Amino acid sequence: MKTNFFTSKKRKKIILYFFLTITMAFFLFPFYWIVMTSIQPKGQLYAPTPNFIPKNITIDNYINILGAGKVNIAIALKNSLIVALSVTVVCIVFGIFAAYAFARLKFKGSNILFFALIFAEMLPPVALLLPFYLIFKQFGLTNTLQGLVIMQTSWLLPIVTWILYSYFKTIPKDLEDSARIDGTSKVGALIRIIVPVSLPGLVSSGVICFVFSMGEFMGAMAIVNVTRFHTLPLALAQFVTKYSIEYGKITASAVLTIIFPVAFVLIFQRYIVKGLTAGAVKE
Amino acid sequence: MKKFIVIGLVLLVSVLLFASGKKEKEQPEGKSEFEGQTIVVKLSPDMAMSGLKGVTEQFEKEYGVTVDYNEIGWDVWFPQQAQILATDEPLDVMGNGKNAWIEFPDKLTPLTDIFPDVFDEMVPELVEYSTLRGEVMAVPFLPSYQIMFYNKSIFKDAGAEIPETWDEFLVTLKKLNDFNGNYNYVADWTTENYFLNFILTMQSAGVDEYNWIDGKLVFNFDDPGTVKAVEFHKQLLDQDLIDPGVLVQLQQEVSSLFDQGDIAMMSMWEMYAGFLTDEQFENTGYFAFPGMKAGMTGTLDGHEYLMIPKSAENPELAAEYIRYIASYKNTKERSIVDKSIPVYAAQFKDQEIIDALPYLPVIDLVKKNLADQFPPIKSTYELRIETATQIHPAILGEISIKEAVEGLQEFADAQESVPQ
Amino acid sequence: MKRGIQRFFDFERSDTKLAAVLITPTFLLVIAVVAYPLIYSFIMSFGDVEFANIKEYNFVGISQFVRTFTDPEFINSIQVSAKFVFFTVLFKLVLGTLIAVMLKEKFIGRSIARALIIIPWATPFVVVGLMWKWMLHSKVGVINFFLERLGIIQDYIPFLSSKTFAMPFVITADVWQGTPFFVIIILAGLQTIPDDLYEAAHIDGASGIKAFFTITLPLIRFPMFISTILGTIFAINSFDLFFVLTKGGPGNITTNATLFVWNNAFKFYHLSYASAMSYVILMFSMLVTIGYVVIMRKIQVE
Repeated sequence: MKTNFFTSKKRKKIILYFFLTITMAFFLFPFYWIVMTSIQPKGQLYAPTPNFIPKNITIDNYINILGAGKVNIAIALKNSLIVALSVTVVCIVFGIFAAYAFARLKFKGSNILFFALIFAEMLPPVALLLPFYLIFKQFGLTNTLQGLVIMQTSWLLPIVTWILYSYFKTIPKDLEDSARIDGTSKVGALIRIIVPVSLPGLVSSGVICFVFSMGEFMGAMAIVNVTRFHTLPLALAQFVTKYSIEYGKITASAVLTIIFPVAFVLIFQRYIVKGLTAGAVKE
Repeated sequence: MKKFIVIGLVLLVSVLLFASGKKEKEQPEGKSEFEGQTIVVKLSPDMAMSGLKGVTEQFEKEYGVTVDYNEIGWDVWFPQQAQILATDEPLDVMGNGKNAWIEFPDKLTPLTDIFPDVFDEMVPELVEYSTLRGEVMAVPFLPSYQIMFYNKSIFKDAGAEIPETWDEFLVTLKKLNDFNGNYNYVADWTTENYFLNFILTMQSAGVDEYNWIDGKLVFNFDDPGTVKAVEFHKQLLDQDLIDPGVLVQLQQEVSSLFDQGDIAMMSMWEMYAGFLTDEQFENTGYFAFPGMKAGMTGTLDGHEYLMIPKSAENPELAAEYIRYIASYKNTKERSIVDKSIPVYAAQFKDQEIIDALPYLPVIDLVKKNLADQFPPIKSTYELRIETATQIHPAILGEISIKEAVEGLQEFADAQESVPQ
Repeated sequence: MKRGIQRFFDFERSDTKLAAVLITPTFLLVIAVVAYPLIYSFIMSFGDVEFANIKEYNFVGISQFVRTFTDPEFINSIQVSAKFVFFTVLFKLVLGTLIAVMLKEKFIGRSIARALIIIPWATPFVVVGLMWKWMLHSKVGVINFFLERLGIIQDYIPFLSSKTFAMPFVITADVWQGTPFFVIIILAGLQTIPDDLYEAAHIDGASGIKAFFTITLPLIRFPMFISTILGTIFAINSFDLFFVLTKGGPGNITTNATLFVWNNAFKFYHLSYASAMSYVILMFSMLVTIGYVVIMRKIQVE
């Protein structure tokens, strides 16, 4: 009986490790593969048998895309980082305000306004592209980084507000009340009590903003048509011509594109799980 | 662990800032009337080929001006150029195909009086081709024709002959297929591009895709020759001479299949020759698309042009820029380096160019039978899609060919034409 | 005057005043950047605006909407979207749940596995598209290589230009990117389930698969539901992946509704028609969301 139990437990472990290995391989192999592709000379890419461990390593692709070649990814990366960081900061600040108002303050029409915000999240962005472009042109915001920041912020604010709203709802009201009794104002309570406690929520919505902004393509395509303000996704399209796709340079650019979002996600991993799930787990 | 990630990121950012910052433009030392002025140039990398960026930098230096030079990937550029033209966004020089003045005729500056000398020396057909209602709308910059590429060594080993007629083509293809067990003819027959190979085949059956009759645009999709052209395509499939999956092979895939070296023929834009490696280039030959009967052939235009939109803020400098980059010298160099077709009539007799471009005799042969990638209607793109929608079922045998060409004719007749 | 300002900024008595100040920036942005374009395209959908004559507007009533219901290409694109949304959300949900259950178990390197699994979610869709395009290459693609070595296929297949395989691989790429998001949310739900519940069930003779269905599933239905709603909305609006991976081809096999609308606006230049179609898509999104909410309510009541 006892050995039986033991073996079944052991068998369970083996099965678990087996499936875990498959899962992790499925999700991580593509990253390994683009890194390998990006450090191989062009001739080796089209070998009949793929090189899982490259024979010759070269960083030519990286040198080429970082300034020596026709397309300069460094500029695009700089633009992307500026836009993504600005979007993140603006979204968090405005998101805190709005979420606090919806979660803690009683005012007329709060339900309707909240639903309006969620509704805005559901809109198909493709419907808005051309009007976007026309308005942005009116205000001189096409072909500017500010324009990109404003556009992406407006797309992200509803979801950030929603996440923070759910998070604020999980914070016990007593915490705020006790501070209020000590004479702190509402705004003071928000800044000194609520914000520090909701750090996971803030971080996770910040990472969502950053990740989304780094990858946003359709809107940027609509309002930016000069290469010096290209963001990374737009710059990547340069390597796909009518006749060929330069996979060496593409994968090198792809590695530079994902390196920041991936690093952020890894650094803040714990917070993301906590923050993202506050709204989803509670019933 | 986290600390290392952070430190790594900080290092990377500083490297990037350095890399993006160090390429600051040096103050140009100008000596022209345009000194200190700026123009905006936008085109696709396909059109820029390898050297345009360098030529542009030379121009900046020589003229003491700043060129806001943008190469934008075609997929992104196609919608953007429409947006720019439709909304009069400032743009000085635009690179695009003929669809620009077919679809936005009132948004471009007529160039007849700006480059009279240049147009005089350029290939007359190219200039005529860029003319709308008596005005030249664009400067031909990168002509391109669809021709047949073949792999010399496979042809030699299989003992195959270069086909001149459709019947010979079927024989050759059969021979090649039997020789190496592959499907030896690839072409882009996808929905978006089926139109291209289709009207090229029409042309090789002696049918013009459209005519102007008494000022009215008449398409010839219901011509008996068109039916023959579809029959020819259908034969290729029915006799199992081409891959049944051919209807879905994208252009990039077609060229990469040919690149592999185990497929003997492809139909492709001649400028693809510039993308071949030296070794492949040596081993590649060219021939004219075979005709229904001997002596017939057909091809398609894929020309790209330089235009000055009406929204240009500095049209004078724009004209000077176009004149500079499309000069005899610069286009010649580009023909030699990128293997692109010359634009000046005299360049066809320039020995250096003739030596660099082995396919030139084929171009001479086919270009009299040119079909129009952008017929003068306001909805060329929809006509392209509709062609595949109508003809694909016919070559698969799902509907009759007659039914298909009549359906296409009906659709084409309903389109709004752009008077010449 | 000074006192007036002070009184205005005295938020202690009235919530409404403070709320108004706090939500103004968000709503200003959303109204300016979302609501205005929305109204603009709504007006446009009742006209006959084409790209070339963008300033000419003739009112044509609901004829653009009528056209949406009779255009076989649009109907096809809706079907493509429906197929894509159904399979991608289903796979993400099933895989997400299974992986979450797996990651809840104790094993060596669990925290690393939990961290690494999130990475695909941080990858932009344009990169996802190019990455998979490269792996699916018809001649040197690593997926073709694996499948051939495993004996699953005889010859290399040009997957993305194949009528049979194009859609499944677009779905695969999307599932690869989107599953981690489901995993995170469902895993957090799992962590709230106390262990004694399982112990009690074990004593009652319910363990393994039975315990999963009787204990786990009911307790994580809320996170599953939330991730399904979000996943569905994202999937309906999916564009980048199709644009990069297949551009809607081969034929129109992978032309989803969003891509079709985009083509109509920016390649065929039918702005009014594109606007009308995007409203139809919006209606579908809302219907689906409302449907989910109704089902969820029903389950909760039971």
